[in-house]
Amino acid sequence: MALRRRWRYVALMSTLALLGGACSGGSSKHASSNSKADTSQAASPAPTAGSSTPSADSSPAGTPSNTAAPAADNSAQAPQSAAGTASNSNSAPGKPATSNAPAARSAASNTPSGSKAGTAAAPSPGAPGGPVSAGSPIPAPAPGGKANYASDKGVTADTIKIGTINMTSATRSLGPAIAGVQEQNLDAAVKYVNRNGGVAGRKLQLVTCDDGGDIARGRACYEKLKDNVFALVPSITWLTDVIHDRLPKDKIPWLSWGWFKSEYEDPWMFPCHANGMREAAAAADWVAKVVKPTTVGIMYLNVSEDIAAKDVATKQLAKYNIKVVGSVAQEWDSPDESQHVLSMRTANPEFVMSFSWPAPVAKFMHDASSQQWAPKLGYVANHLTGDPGYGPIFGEYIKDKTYTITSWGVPTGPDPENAEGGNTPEQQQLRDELLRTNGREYQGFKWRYAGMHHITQSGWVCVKILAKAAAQLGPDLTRDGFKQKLESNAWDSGLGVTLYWPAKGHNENPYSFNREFIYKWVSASDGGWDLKRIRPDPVFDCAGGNIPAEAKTVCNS
Amino acid sequence: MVVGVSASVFESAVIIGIFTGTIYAMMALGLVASFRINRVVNLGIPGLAVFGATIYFQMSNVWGAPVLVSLVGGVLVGAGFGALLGLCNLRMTDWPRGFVMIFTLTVSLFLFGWSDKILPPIQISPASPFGDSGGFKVALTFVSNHQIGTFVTCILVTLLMAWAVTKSRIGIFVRAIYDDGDSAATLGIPLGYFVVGVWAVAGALAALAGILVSPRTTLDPYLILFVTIWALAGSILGGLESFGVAFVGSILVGLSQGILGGGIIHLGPGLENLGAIGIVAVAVFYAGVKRRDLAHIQT
Repeated sequence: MALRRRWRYVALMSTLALLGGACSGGSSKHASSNSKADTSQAASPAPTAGSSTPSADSSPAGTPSNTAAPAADNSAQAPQSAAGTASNSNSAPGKPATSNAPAARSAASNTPSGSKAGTAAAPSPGAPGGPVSAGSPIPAPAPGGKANYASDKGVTADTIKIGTINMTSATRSLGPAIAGVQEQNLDAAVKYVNRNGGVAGRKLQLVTCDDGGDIARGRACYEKLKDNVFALVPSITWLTDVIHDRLPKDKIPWLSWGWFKSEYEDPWMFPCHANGMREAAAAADWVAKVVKPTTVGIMYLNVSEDIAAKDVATKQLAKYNIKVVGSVAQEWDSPDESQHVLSMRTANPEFVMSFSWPAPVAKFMHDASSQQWAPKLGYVANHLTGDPGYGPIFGEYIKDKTYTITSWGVPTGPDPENAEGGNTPEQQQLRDELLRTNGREYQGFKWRYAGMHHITQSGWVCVKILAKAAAQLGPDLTRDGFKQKLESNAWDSGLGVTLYWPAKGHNENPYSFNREFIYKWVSASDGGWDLKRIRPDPVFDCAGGNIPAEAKTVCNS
Repeated sequence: MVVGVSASVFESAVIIGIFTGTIYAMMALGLVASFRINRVVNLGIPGLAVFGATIYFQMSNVWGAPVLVSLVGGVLVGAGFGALLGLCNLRMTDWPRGFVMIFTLTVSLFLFGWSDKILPPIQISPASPFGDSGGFKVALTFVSNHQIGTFVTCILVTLLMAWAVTKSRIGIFVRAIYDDGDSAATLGIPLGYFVVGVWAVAGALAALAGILVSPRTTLDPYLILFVTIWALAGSILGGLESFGVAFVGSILVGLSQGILGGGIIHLGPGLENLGAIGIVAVAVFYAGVKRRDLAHIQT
C-alpha cells in the first residue's frame, strides 16, 4: 500500500515535471501594444549636411582615415530628411535626473556623429547610401497611396510585431539587472515610435520571451516567435550564437546584440553592438599607442569568445613588442579571486586588460584592493565591465586607474571632450524616454545604471532603425525587402556610431564599430562614480572608414 | 608551466588557499550534520544558506537592525526551515535516499527564487559581522578581519559539533540513530524529535555559513550552489560522517585552488579546478583504503 502510494506520488511529480517542461521555453508576452499616440509635436530635425560612407576597403592599413567632405543623403531613397540634430520634441528641457546629469543641452549643438562634415569619402557603387540620421523622422505614408496590408509574417494592416528573447529570469548577474532592463528599454523605444506616428501607418508591437539563460528554452522562444513576429530585435540571449542554421531557413531578420562573432557572419543577423574580438584588437592597439606599457597582464572569462579576445589582444600587443607576462582565466562562479590577484602580482605587469564578466572582475578588484596592489599604469576593461552603473559594484578602487572601452558614446557629467558621441541630443532623448517609460526604478545609480548599458543603448537604436527601414518600404513590408533596406543604407545612431551592414558581408567594411570609445572611471562631484571621456578614440582599422574627424582617433592624432 | 617562486608568494598562496577552503568548510558543516542523522545528502543546504543570508541582509542593510540581531535572525530562520525540511524527511523515511536528496534540491531552488524576490536586482555583498574593514598584511596578501573571524568561527563550530557528536548524550543518540534507526527506536529514542532537531541544527549551520560566506562571494544563489558543490567534494574525504575530516577536506580543496591559481604552478584555463578535484580524488582514495584499518571515523 505504501509502495503504491509512493509510486503514485512519483507519477504525479513526473507528470507535473513533464507538463512544466512542455510549457517552458519562456513566457511570451506582448508589450507596448497599441499605446495611444501622443499628440505632442512631431520630430522636426534641423538640416545639416549629410554624409556618406567610405569606400569598402577591408584591408587594415593603419593610415589616417579620409576626411573628405561628405556627400548629401542619397535622394534615391524613400523620403527621409537630411541628417539633422536629433529632435528633442519629447524631451523636457532642464530636467536633470541627478546632480550628475550632463549639461548636454548647451553642448549639444552638434549633429549626431557620422552626419557632419569630416566623415569619409563618397560612396562607391554597392556601398550603403548616405546615413539615415538619428534625428530624421520616420517617413509617413504618402497620402492617397496604397493601403497597408498583411504583407508578411508578423505584419498586418495596422501592426508590426517585433520579438525579443531575453534571459530575464536568469542568474542575478545578468537577469533582472540587465536583461530585464533591456525589455523595458525596448518597450520605451517602441512606445516612442508609436507616439511619433508609428511606422507608415502601422504601430509596433513588442513581444517578449524569457529564456532564463537556457539555450533550450531560447530555442523554444524562437520557435514560438518566428512565425508570429516580423523581425527580432536586440536580445540578451545565448541563442544568438547557435541559431544560425535556422535564420536563413525561416528568413527572419534579427537585429541582434552582437555579443558573438558568429552574429557578424550571419546574413540574417544585423549586430547592433561591437564584436568582442574586434573590440579587443582596438583596445590593445589603443593601449599600445596611448598607455604604452612594456608588459601587460590579461584576465579573461573562461569562455570561447573571451579566450579568443585574449588571443587577439596578445597578438596585437606583440606587434608593438609588448609582452603579456601573465594571464588568469576566471570562472562565472569563482567565489574568490585572491589567488588570481596573487598570480597577477607575481607576474607584475605594468597594465592589466580584462575581457571578462562583472562578477569575477569585481571580486578581483576588491581582492586587489585588500591586497593593496594595483598595476602601475592601471586597467582597461571590456565594455561589459565598464557599464556606467557598475561603479559601486567595483568600489572606490577603480577610480582613476581603470579605463573602459565601449561601443557607444556614454553620457557623462559636463565634458567638452564628450560632446561628440557622448553628451548628444539623442542620448538626452534616450534618457528622457527611459525615465518617461520606466520611471526611476530602473535608473538606479545616477540614472545610468543599466538604462545606459551599451546593450540597452543598442536596443533603443536598433528599434528606431527598424522603424525607419520599415517605413521606407511602405505597405509592401516584407522580410526580404527589409533585409535589403538595412543593407543598402547607413544608419546614424546619434550616439556616435553609424551602423552599416554591407550586403557583401555584415562583417565587412565599413564596419559599424570601427571606432569605439574610451572612458575612465573617476570620482563624481558628489563623491560617487563617473566616467570621463579619454581621447584619442580607439580604432580597429584606420583604413576601414566610418571615423568622424572630430573623433581624434589614433589614426589622425 | 612555471614553477619556482619566492617564499612570500608560496606563503601567500597557502594563506589564500586556507581562507578559500574555510568558505567551503563552512558550507560543509551543514551537509555533514544532515547526513549524520539519517544518511541523506542534504542539497537544501545552499538554499538555506542563501535564504539565511538574505534575511540577514534584509534585517541589517535594509531595516537597519544591529548586526548581531540580524545574525541571530538569519540563523533562526535557517533553523526553522531546516526543521521543516526535517519534518518532511520524517514523512519520507520509506523513500529511496536519492529521491529525498532530489527533494531537498527542489527546496533549494524554491528558496533561491524566494531570495531573488527579496533581494534587489543587483549583486550585493552583505556587511560582514566582523566588520568590513581592518586586517593585516601577511607576505604579499592581506588578511581581513572578516576572513579571520570566519576561520575562527569555522574551527570553533567544527570542534563544538565534533564534541557534541562524540561526547554528549545527544551525540550518543544521534550516532545510535545513524547506525541503526530501528534499534534506536526500540530503545525508546524519539527518532522524530532527533531528526527534526538535527536538521534544524543543519539549517542553522547553513544559514550561518551563508552569512559568513556571502560577504566574500557576493550573495548570489547559484554561486553559493557551486560553493556547496566544492564543499561536498571536501566532505567526501570523511564520507560525510566527520565534521573534522570535512573541515580538513575543504581546506585541502581551497589550498589546491590557492596554489594552482596563485601563480605557483600555471595550468591552462579550467585546469586549476580540475587539479583541485584531482588532489581531492587522490586523498579520498587514500582515505578509503586507510579506513579499512581505522576505526569508523565518526567525529
